[in-house]
Amino acid sequence: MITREQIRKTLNQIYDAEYGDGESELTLADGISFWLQNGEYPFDVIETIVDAVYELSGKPRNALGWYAEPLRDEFSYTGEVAFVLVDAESGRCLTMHRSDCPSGYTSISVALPVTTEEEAIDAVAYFLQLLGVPVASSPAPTNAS
Amino acid sequence: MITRERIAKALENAFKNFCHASEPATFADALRHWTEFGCCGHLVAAAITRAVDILSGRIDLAWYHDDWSFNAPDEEPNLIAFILVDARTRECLTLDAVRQTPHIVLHIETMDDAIAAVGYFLSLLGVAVEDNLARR
Repeated sequence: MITREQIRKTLNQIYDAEYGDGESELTLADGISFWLQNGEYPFDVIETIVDAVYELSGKPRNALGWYAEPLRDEFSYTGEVAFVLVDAESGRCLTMHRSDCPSGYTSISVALPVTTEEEAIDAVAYFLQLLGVPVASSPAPTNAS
Repeated sequence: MITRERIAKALENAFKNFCHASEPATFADALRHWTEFGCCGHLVAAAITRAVDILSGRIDLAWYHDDWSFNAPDEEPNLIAFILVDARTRECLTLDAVRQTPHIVLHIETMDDAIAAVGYFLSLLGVAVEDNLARR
């Protein structure tokens, strides 16, 4: 059973190893803050979430297909990221779901808020659950689109 | 056999019926906005996907598209990423088995490019198209 603390530790270890300078510790929260303040493409934040899913699920790199798009309004990033996750072996889209909106259309992406470390943990927990990995008391995102 | 002319007509009809934007008024106009000003990429992409829905007769296709001029500004311009999933089976039809990516990126600059994109997606769905349209 994966705990939130394990996810937090994994996210921060990956972020510091990949993007830190080897001296002062850099956390994922630092990366998220930088993204929201400076408005640059959050490649580091997205990659860290994806890498944490690989590490905690034990899936090999060629097992999953990902697409991620940081969502924008007219002026800037909203803090949400749309993700599409496909099981590369079966070709099945794991993020496909029926939308909550009245038209009930089928969506293949989920839009997850990633404005805090806690939301990043929620995102990783959500993907782990999609992959059948048990996660301790992690609510599924409610704003999937 | 789906011809280029049918696809061109379906693109305009799809744009008028489903994109319902007062400006630009036609698909050709939307393409011009997209190539000249870098805007309306989502309308161009939506018209392409709706034209595929119409011409394939499929109501169970699920799409995602992303205008790369926003999110990958250093890339070549006029690129749109598409993901197509068969909602009945959940199969991702655009999955690249080599790169393990669920999307394909198409360069959409001209009406010919848009027609070729529709032809490519139709061929993925097993719909017969003119020979020169089945490749991307």
